[in-house]
Amino acid sequence: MTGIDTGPPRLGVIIALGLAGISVLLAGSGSEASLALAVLASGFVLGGLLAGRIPLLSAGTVFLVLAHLVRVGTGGGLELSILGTVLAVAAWDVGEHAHDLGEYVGRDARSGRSVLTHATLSVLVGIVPVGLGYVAFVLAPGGRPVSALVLLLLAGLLLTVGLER
Amino acid sequence: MRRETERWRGISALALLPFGVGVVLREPGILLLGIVGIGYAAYAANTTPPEVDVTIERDIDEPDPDPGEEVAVTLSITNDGPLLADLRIVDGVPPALETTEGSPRLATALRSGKTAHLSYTVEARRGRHEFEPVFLVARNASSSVERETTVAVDSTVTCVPTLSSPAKLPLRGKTDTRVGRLTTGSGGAGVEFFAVREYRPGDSLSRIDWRRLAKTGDLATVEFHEERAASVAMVLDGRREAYVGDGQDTSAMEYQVEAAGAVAQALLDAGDQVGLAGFGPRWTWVPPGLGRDQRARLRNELALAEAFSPVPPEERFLPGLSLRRIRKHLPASAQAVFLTPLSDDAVVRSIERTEAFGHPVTVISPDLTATDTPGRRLATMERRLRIRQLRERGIRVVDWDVARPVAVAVAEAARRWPS
Repeated sequence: MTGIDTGPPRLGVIIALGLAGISVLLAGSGSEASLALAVLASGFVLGGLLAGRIPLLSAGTVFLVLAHLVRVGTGGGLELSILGTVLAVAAWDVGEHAHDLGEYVGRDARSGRSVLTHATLSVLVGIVPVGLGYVAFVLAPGGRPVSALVLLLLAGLLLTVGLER
Repeated sequence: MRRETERWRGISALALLPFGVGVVLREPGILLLGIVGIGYAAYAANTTPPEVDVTIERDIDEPDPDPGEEVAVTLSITNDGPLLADLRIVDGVPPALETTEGSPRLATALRSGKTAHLSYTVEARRGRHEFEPVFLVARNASSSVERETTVAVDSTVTCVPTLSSPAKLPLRGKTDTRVGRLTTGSGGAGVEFFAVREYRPGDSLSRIDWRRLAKTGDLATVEFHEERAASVAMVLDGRREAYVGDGQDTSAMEYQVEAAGAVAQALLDAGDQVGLAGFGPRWTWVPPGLGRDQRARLRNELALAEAFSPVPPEERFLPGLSLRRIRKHLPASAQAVFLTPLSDDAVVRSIERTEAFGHPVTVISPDLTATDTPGRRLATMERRLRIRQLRERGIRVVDWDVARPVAVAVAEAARRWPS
């Protein structure tokens, strides 16, 4: 029996590269510091996706999220960074999922539907809560109290931790 | 079986990072970025595995193919339960069959009531091939938890090749009591002159030497070489060690089956009785027999018997036990034709013991050795030594270069043997 090519499905890699690429461009559009971090992140993400090394991809994603934090901290627009952060996490999710699919069913198997479903859900899951949070943040009366937002996030975190148990 | 994939491990930490930074800097923008992480963490926190309730059907376009024929297999998976966001399906292709087109694996999302199809092609090979259960892995939307199941779908592909064209193997001098083609060393009725002896009452009148009676007045009887049939058991080496490959996906077992079929055909044509035995952990025995039924039976057993399966055995093997079993079944006057690649010394000892117990042995050994690496050259040398050792004991060996037809190899080897 010939061996199975356990590489990730190409569609998954392409989608992950696309998502990560947009995120890197968004992060790079801020300050020099965020650009430097974005370049560093893109190296890790590229290496991780193309060589199938998930730890590299994860490290790249962390750097990419940091790049967006720096971008916001150094005065970049909030909306684009929120989008960029969602895309960074979604790229990791899609890339890791594709890698895992490769190990289960191989590159030659049909897997397009699985990859597309996963990618769509992954982006939606990032966009929807952030969108709601953002709308609340923008529309909140009385000068956008940070303390209220902190409490809101804390509640969200506790809820998440509670759900995980 | 439910299993958490833990792929999202660390996502909470990543969510806390902007949260912490935002709180310290009292920067609402950075805090908002934290929501992204929290959203994903909540997504991953759902660890209820999906319910897998599927119906699977397997359709095989040709369940009784000829060897080498392409067999199309279609698997239909219908989801009778709720949505499966991530379903991975691996069909249980029989280990001896090779997929030639498509893939027996599929990853998909399957809505309730929908059916996914999985099609691929396998190449038929000798033997009965039963499909193994279909392996399913279903994951929830975030892939944080998965459930593994197997679904048994019984299907079989049975491939019985025709026996290869006859290869005439000269037998050694031991026979049973039936009339046949083998010229013996004892006198009696026959064609070829053997001796003249003194008349004994009861001798047939047709064999009295009348010329001698006329000349000398003494009664004498002419004896001819008796021609008898032989009983032959083809013994195929089915041990794990015998499953050496030729580098092109064909193991020695396939060559053994081919040679056994060819020799059995010729022997049956000549009126000899032919039987079949497996030398290995998986036992098969067909007692020597004659005629069309026996030919059909040998063809069937050579194709389907587990002892000659294209897949090597997993079981432990005790050569002594197998040999004793073969000896117990072999008729006292039977010869053995051993088919083996001669890949180790144990089989040589077994052949020598069979010969020592009074069954003349002829060995047909497909040569699958190569000389491209030092290790393989060593194996080639060892095999040559084994052949020489057997020949020194008076055992006939056909060293068959598998690139040529077995009938040619047998005929060439037979030229060197005393008739």
